[in-house]
Amino acid sequence: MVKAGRFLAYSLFFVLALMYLMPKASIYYFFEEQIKAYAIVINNESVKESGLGLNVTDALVFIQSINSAQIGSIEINVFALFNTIDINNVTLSSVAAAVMPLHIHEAHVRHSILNPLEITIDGEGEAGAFHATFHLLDRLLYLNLKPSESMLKDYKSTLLNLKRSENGEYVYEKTI
Amino acid sequence: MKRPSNSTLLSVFTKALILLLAAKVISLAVWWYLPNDSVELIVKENYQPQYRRVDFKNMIQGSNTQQKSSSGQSMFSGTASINSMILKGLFGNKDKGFVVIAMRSDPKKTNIVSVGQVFKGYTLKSITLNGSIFEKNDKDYILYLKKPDHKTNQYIKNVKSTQVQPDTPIDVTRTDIANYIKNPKQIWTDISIVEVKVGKKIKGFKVTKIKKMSKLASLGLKVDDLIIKANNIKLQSYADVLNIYKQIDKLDAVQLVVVRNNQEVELVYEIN
Repeated sequence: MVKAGRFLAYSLFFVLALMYLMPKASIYYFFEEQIKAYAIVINNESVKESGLGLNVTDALVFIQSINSAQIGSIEINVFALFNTIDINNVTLSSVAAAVMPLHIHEAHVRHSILNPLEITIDGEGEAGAFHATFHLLDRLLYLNLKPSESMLKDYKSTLLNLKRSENGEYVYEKTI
Repeated sequence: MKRPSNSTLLSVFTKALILLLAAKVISLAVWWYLPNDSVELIVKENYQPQYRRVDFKNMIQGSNTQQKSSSGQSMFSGTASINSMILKGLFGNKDKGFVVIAMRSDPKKTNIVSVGQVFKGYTLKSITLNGSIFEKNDKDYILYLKKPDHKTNQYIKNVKSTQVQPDTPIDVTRTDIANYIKNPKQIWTDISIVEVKVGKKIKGFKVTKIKKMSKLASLGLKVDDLIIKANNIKLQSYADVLNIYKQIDKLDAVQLVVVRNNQEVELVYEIN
């Protein structure tokens, strides 16, 4: 029993030490290289490691070389068993104004070992509050939007692309 | 309570130190293997020269007046085969403008011939996008523009008539543009455009719908037109399109090249 306790304590110590010492910025750059294959580039950002996490501020997101969004801050925390990415102050390119309101106040991405095959995203913006899930095996994206008044009033054509549920919310599903 | 001996503490401390060292070694290996620099966006520069519209209207009108005053008499007497001519340049549109012609025997000596004038027995009838149409004895002859890097691509075709699309400038007001900028949703209500790819590369943007009675419908674009260039810039990505869109309120003229019925047509918009 004591031996098992010691083993667990040493393991926990090792994992924490590994997470603390791991070059998180390099992992972030590796992630950037991976998404570049999909023509997504994050530019101009300032990257700072912080203990077990990583902070990225003032990032410009380019999709197919188009300046598509400006992100105020991204806070990435990887705790192995429970990982979070908190994104704040996203402003989409004015080109998207035809499709949706431009400001997303916050979005929280979560992945837990308790539900390892699913990533959940919750957020809130001028378009309304949203909840999304991405199933890693099926590659299925499910988005549930509770539209704001301005979304309902000014972006009816966008909402037509979403399925309306019984409770007045809008649902979008796509396999990626 | 039993106090841990110094040797036990030393053992725990040593093991922790070894684990810390192992973690550091692993993180160093990861650091060595992974990239150390952020990915930066490299924008492919488009080396096509920017579009500059030059107004030759006065020159063209002047040459027409001169032509009328000479009552159709040729300034370039004599006759020659059209095969012996080289078209070096052209300015203007269908029935206004002039071309620059040289003889193969002396390609450096050029002559300017305006629409309606007779050159070596051939009357310049009209100007197309890439050539000029001459007439002699009720037959039309197309003289294509000489391309600088090929020696054999200048040739003559004997045809009865040629349909040439007009490239007369169309007036667009800044108010119209300001309205579309203020209300970008209106653009996609009035027009639908989809990308057309050849392999993985975008060839252009095809017009799939234009709302009747809209401002865009009055601009000469038609359904199935494939827009391939704007202001001399090839539209090979969404970024190319957006670059034009972002500058639209600062431009004095916009030139679009579209493929319509397998022919390239130039549409010119003067923004007033």
